[in-house]
Amino acid sequence: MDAIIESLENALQIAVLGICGIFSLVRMHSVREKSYLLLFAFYGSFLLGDLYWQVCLLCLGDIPRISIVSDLSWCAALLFLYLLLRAAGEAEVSDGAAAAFSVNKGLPWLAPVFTAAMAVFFIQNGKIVSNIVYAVLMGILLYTAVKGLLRTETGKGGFRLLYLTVFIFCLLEYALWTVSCFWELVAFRYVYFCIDIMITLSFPFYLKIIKREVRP
Amino acid sequence: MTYVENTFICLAAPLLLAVLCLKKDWRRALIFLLSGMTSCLLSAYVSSYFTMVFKLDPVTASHEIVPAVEEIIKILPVLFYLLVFEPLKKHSISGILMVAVGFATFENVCFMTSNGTGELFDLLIRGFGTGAMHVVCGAMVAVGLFFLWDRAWLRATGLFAVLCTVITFHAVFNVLVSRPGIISWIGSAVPLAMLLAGLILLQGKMDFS
Repeated sequence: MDAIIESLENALQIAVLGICGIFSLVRMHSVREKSYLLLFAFYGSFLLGDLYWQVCLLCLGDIPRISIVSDLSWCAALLFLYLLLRAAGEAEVSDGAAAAFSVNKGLPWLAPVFTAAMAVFFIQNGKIVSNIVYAVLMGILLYTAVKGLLRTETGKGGFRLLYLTVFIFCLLEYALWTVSCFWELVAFRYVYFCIDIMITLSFPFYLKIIKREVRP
Repeated sequence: MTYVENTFICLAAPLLLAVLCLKKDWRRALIFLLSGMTSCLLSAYVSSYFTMVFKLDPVTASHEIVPAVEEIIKILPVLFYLLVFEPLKKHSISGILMVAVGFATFENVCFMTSNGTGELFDLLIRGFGTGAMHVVCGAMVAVGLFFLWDRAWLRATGLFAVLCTVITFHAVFNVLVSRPGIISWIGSAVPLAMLLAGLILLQGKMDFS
C-alpha cells in the first residue's frame, strides 16, 4: 500500500515538475530572460532525480544500490535555485529595490548553524558525505533566502515572495528528511507523504513569482 | 574477447593522419573527434576500476557508475582546451559537440564488436539514441558553460550543477536502454526528441545578457 502511495506521489511530483518545466521553457523562449532558464534547470534537475529513482523502481524493481545519481541531481537543483536567488538579488540591486541591510545582520547566519545541527542528527541514521553536502547547500540557500527576506522591500520590484517560497521549501525539505528518519512508524509515513505533496504544490509558485517580477 | 584498444587504434590511425594533413578548423574538429574517442576508451578503464572497487555487476555499474565517469571524462578535453587556449565561444561549443560525437561513435563501435551487427533495426535505434544522448549532454554542458554566467566562480558552480544534471540524464537513458523491447525504444527516442526540440527552440541566437 505504501509503495503504491509513494509511486503515485512520485508520479504527481514528476508531472508537476514536467509541466512547470515546459512552461518555463516556453516563457524563456518568448521572453529570453535568464531567470527562466535557471528555473527550467531547477525543475529539470529535480525532475531527473525523481525520474531516475522512479525508473529504477519500475524497470529494475528496486531503488538504486548507490543512490549517488539521484542525489547529484537534487544537489544540482539546489544549486540552480541558489543561482536563481543570486540573479534575483542582482536584479533588485539594479532596480534599486533593495533596502539598506542594516538590521539583524547576524540572523542569516543562524541558517548554516541550523543545517549543520540537522546534519549531525541525520548522520546518526544515514550517510556522512551526502548529509554534509546537503547541509552545505541548504545552509547557503537558507542563508541567501533569509538575507533576501530581511533586505527586500514589500513593494514593486522586490523578490520577497521568491525568498519566502525558497525559505518555506527548505523548511519543508528538512521536515521531510526528519520524518523519514522514523519511517518504521506508520503514522509518520503519512506525514511524510503529506509534506512531499506540499513540496510538490510549492513548485508552480516559483513560475508565478518569476512571471510577476521579471519584466521583458 | 574484444580488445577495445585495437579497435581504437584502427579507427584513430586514419583520423590521426588526416589531422596532420588538414588545416585550422578541420584539424580542430578532427582533434576533438579523436579526443572524444580517447575519452570513451579512458572512461571504460576508469568505470571498470570503480566497478571492481564497489563490487558491482556490469549492468548495475552501467546504471550508477558509468554515467558519472563518462560525463566527467568527456568534459576534460574541453576544459583543457578552454583553460590553455582561451578560444572563441563558437569554437568551444563546436568542440564540445565534436567530443560528444567522437565519444558516441567509439561507444557504438565497441557495442557492435561486442554484440554483433546482425540486427539492423536495433542498431539503428541504438546508434541514433546514443548519438543523440551524447550530443544533448554536450549541448547542456555548452549552455551551462557559455550562456548563463559571466563571473568565473558562478560559471564553475553552474558547470558543476549542469554536470550533475547531465549525469542523471545519462543514467536514466542507460537504465531505459538496458531493458528489452519498447522501454529501450522509448529510452532512445527521448534524447532524439529533445535534440529535435532543442534545434527548433535554439534557431534564434541565445543571448541572455
